[in-house]
Amino acid sequence: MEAKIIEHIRQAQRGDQRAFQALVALYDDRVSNLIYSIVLNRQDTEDLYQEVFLKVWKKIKTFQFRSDFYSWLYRITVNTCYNFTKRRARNQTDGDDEIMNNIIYPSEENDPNKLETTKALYGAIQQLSPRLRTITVMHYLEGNTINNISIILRIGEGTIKKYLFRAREILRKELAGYA
Amino acid sequence: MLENFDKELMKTFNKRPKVSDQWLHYQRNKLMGAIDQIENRKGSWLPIRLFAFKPQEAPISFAIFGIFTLLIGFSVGVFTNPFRPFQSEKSTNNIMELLTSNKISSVQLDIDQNQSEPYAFKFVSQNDYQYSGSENDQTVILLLEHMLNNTANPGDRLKLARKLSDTGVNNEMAVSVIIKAMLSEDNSAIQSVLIESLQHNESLTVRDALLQIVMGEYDAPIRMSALNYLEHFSADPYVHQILKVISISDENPSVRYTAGKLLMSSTDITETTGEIKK
Repeated sequence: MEAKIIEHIRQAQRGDQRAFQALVALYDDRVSNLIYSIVLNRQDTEDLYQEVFLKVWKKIKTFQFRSDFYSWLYRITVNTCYNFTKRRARNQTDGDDEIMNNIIYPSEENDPNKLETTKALYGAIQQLSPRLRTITVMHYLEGNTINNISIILRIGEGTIKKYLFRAREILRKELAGYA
Repeated sequence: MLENFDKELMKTFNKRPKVSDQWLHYQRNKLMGAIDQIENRKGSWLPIRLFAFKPQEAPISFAIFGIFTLLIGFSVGVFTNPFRPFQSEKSTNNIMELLTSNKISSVQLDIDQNQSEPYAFKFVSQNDYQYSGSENDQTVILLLEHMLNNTANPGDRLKLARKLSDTGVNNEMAVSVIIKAMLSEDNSAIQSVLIESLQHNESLTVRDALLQIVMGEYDAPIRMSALNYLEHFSADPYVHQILKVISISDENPSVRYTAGKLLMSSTDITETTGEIKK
């Protein structure tokens, strides 16, 4: 871990809000993308951004430098999102046309066909259950190995493989027209 | 073929959307505001701290502390007064209106009262309210739904789940409220008790909900729990088909074993029945 990051963490552990803000600024881009990829909803991304970083602020004193800071933050983010998506399933509302508002695409996505494919993919991911969606995003989007996902979510590797297989099958069917 | 699909998936995923800098900036400010509030709240005990740690400022602190204590005493007196009028039995229409407009802040089971009705609630809106009734009362169902879905405290949800389990639920609407909560509950202890609350119900809706859990739930003990209550339905050819799959494919050996056992106990019946209820 970089010395600058370590210093920010130590200062934040002593209650320095400015140091914490600097720390947030280093990671919140990745965290927001991760949250959005899992919940696929702008409002929920905003709420979870706040929830995740407030948790981090409250827990930062317990961070003991045994792991990389992002791994620690990552675990908090994924678990918060996972619990949230499970809970949200109760009050699911369809037709969120505003999903893509305020989210900007990389320049190559100006091509309407490619944008359409990406939107279709996100639409298909939305069809996955919270568990399958979280694991799919962790593996395909975040590039986590099965072993890493297994450690973070405390689920057996065999189960992860099974879930990834199920998710692939569902996505394959959903995206059949875009192959 | 699968490998190619994986590659395509990775490629598309790499084109993931990005949040704007403006959005991030706004979120950071909002976050720091929230942190500031939390920290200020911690500081609101300052008069007491002053009194405790800075004896030279004791007279001022003592005065503030005195007023503070009087206010607390007054509030406690008001809230514990047994003659304080509760706005009990608020009319059904008003409660529905409060629920639909999200004006109710918390709903709790009123377990301290000896009620003649099975379900008694107390909740807070602008005043304190009490309401009691049976599972056939639509307001009770709405309050149950509200409590199961919006109560953040798992202890309170568990209390309600136990009450439902002890009382037993048969009303169709109440059952669907429980099923919805059961399928989305993230606390396995509560989920397990909610499953238990449907154990005497032999409707197709309950059957399908139990099957959904057996086939899709991650926690093996929860799958086991649902499987045990599927015993009522083991003669059902549709359940029989699914039990066959579970007994071979579930990752947990106990679940596989239990499914196999149920299957064996029902084999004679299902072998002679051709029709599958769907």
